[in-house]
Amino acid sequence: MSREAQLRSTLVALSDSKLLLGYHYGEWTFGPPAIEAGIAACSMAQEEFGHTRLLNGILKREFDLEIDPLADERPPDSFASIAFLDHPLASWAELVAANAVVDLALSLVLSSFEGGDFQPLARAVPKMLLEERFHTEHAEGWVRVIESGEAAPRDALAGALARALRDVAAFFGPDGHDEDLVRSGARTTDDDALRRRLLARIAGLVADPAAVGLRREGDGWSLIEPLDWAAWDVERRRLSAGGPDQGMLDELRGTKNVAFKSA
Amino acid sequence: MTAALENRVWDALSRITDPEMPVSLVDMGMVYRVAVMDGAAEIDLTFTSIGCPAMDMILGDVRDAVSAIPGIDRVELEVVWSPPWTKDRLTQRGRTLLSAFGLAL
Repeated sequence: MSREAQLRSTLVALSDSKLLLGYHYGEWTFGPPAIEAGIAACSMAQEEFGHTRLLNGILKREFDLEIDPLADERPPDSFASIAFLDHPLASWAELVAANAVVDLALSLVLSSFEGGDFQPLARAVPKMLLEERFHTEHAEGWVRVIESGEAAPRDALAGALARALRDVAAFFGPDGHDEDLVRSGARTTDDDALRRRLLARIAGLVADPAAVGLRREGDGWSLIEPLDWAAWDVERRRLSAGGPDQGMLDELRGTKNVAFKSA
Repeated sequence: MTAALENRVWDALSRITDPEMPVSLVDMGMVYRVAVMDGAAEIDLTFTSIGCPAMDMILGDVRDAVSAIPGIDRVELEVVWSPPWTKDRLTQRGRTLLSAFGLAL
């Protein structure tokens, strides 16, 4: 894949994932265990949607690619989003896992553009990461709160983190798939290094790394059950077929309110 | 003439407030650059948040206010994110107004 094609597909993957992450934060404006958590979720939704808008502006200006999320009619199986975001998040544990793992993964990818030569994104990344810092603090605070509590929520969180870690590890892709972007100067760190950084961060956060599917490997961490890359889709950056739930996409696009769009 | 027009643009921007704050875009430190050449006003501005829901409204207010200045026949707006906005960009007047509004700075 050319540098331009790799850049484009990376930006689409970031935009699609942030759109769905924003949806899930919005979904958890209602029903969280504390009203402050609902306010935080609502605020994080606003920031993720803002980042999607910014990324889509870059895609339009630099690559002549228009994916306005409200007008976009791509089918679910063409989204390049992290699989963990495919369905409504059924519990607060899943929301915290998305916050701790998926949001962090997207921020790590963004950080790899800081100092790179793709200026449209490199210039925006410091502001994006400034906003994302609070997402990480929120996630890590909730992981600690849940881990210091009862066994059932703790187990639910461990299960959700384990699933999120596998889907995010798949998002980072097999070793070396993105080395051209690093070699050409667009990014300063490759996805393999980012994945190792993320696994180490989560292993250091949780009390029992094995419970979330992580094991020591040399001076780092890896998944206890390795991924099989045979089915990896380079454009969609995922192993599993399918895509976001159609009902979620309908809500995001305002399908039921299409008559008001021209009002 | 150019300097006078640029001053008029800054004056116009100092009368546009952020809809969520009782403070002008200039005192918020959101205007990064103003340049006028051959009747074209170029303005670089930023927002406090990338997801600002009032972005289109503020850009429209800026366009309307600057277009109304005699001698300006074109307005080019550039939204920039570098350097990132932080509260350090507030002017002293902006800090005073926001403090009076009840915000902790």
